[in-house]
Amino acid sequence: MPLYLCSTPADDLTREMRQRIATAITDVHCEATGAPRKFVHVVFFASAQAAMFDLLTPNGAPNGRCQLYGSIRSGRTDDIKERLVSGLRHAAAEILGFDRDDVVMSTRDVDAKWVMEGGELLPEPGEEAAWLKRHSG
Amino acid sequence: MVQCVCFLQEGQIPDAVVATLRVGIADLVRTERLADDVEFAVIVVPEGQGWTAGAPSTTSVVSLTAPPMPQARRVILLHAICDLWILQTGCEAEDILATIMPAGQETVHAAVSV
Repeated sequence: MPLYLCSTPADDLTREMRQRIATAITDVHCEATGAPRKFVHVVFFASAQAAMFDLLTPNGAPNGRCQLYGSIRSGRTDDIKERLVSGLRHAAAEILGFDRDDVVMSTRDVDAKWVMEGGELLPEPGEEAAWLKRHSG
Repeated sequence: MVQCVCFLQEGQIPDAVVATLRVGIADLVRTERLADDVEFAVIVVPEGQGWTAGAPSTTSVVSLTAPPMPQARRVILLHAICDLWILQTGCEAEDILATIMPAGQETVHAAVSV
């Protein structure tokens, strides 16, 4: 966690473009939140999987040429969420060659205590140091 | 009814093992008396479409939406899911992300125009 879902009708998205977007999402998320990179997961959906994407994003993914939906740990401030949304829309639009308005995004808060990764509950935001020490290497 | 959405990376888990995992999850749900049935959605993420830390992902995501429960019970169930995955797939603990979210908490912060 976070888990970012990315849906775009551009089925000819190259692997390089997907990697660039995944890296940009990781960069923006970690810069905005201070979270470790290893927490950041990104899954892409092609247009043939649009129905599945809609199912996974109830009330949360407005229409757009590119849709981003982030399940993030609860506790992020509104300022951090704004930086996430702004940064990710900008990065995705630049890589895809879209206008920024063509990239839409929403986030969903998920309590850290609801999530287990590495065999442990996720730490609360800002309390990752001890968790990472146990999971380094 | 408990809903279970799984993201599996293509080519990582054989179909027979996926079937075993589904049975295992359903058994856990029944044993914990969360529900009689589980509605599964298994999404196989094609190669090149799943990423972790900006690199190709080896992570399975298992996300249950279940009736609210005490946290201690949730932790037991999360451990059981992770143990099931490790036992059946041979993956490392780092390769399984499990969540149990209470039904009815689908709060979304739409931030389209920021």
